[in-house]
Amino acid sequence: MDDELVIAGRRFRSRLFVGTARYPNQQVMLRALEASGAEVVTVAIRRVNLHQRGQSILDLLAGKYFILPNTAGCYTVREAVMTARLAREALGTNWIKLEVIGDDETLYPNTPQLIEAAKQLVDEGFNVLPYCSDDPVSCSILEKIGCQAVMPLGAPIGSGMGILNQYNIRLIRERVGVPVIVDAGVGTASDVAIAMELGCDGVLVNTAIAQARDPVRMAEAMRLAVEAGRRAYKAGRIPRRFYAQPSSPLEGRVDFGGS
Amino acid sequence: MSIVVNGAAHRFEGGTLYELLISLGLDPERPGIAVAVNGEVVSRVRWRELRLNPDDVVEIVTAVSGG
Repeated sequence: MDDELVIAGRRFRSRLFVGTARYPNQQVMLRALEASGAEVVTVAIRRVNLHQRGQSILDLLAGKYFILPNTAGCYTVREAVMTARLAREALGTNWIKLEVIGDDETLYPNTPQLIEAAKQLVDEGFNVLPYCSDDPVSCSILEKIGCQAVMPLGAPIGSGMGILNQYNIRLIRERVGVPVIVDAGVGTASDVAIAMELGCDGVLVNTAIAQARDPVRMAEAMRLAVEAGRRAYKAGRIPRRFYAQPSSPLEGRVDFGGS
Repeated sequence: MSIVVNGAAHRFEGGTLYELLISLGLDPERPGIAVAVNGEVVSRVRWRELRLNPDDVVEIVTAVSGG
């Protein structure tokens, strides 16, 4: 298919990005990732546990997936920039999913700090993919300062509430030239399909897969939803109308008499 | 001497960052870890030359599951 996602000049065969956290166990995670068809998977950067050595997640993923580190858990420009630099050093990648969180309960981005961190990292040669609010103006600013994609939230992280402001997501898609990847808030396959039907270039899903009753089956559902939504978008939906329009022809109806 | 490693006080005989990593049971030749000393990332090529000083604050990180 020639409908590939391209970010920073790199082509991706899948428009579904999948997180690696909160699965029942690593086996289920690996099977879910495979069922999702995802190429891009996200990881976080944390202190090495010096007392309890487990199998590194990199050993499980390396060679099979494009590993996108995040700056989850960072609340300031300095924390986020340092984490990105450490991620680059540890993983040998200049790609970063930039998160600068502003609030514990909603995990909403701190937009001023996010923009400042994005500027610094772009200057340092990173491909910056910022997790941002579903606000067309901040998305435009992030594009202008050199981010390679924008990742507006559909709803708060882990909430499963779906695409709460479809109008905003559509506006962002219309006004931003770089790829738009909906990040966060997806609950089930239909939410993913909606995001794709709105014209988004991709969706990142973690909790909705990892915490589903059957993560592997849900991962497959998400893969199908991305494909279905993307094709529906490319096909061009019919306009909405307020009244019915018969689909069968009116001419040639049988006359049974009466009325 | 005493340094701080990942937030905890740590006794270290002294030496380079590379030697610290070995003494902690980490393999500095394997990819996947990164180190900051006193708030600055130290690139892998400098691990063998950077000598640690008392009270240095060392952070050693790796990739973990994340969203």
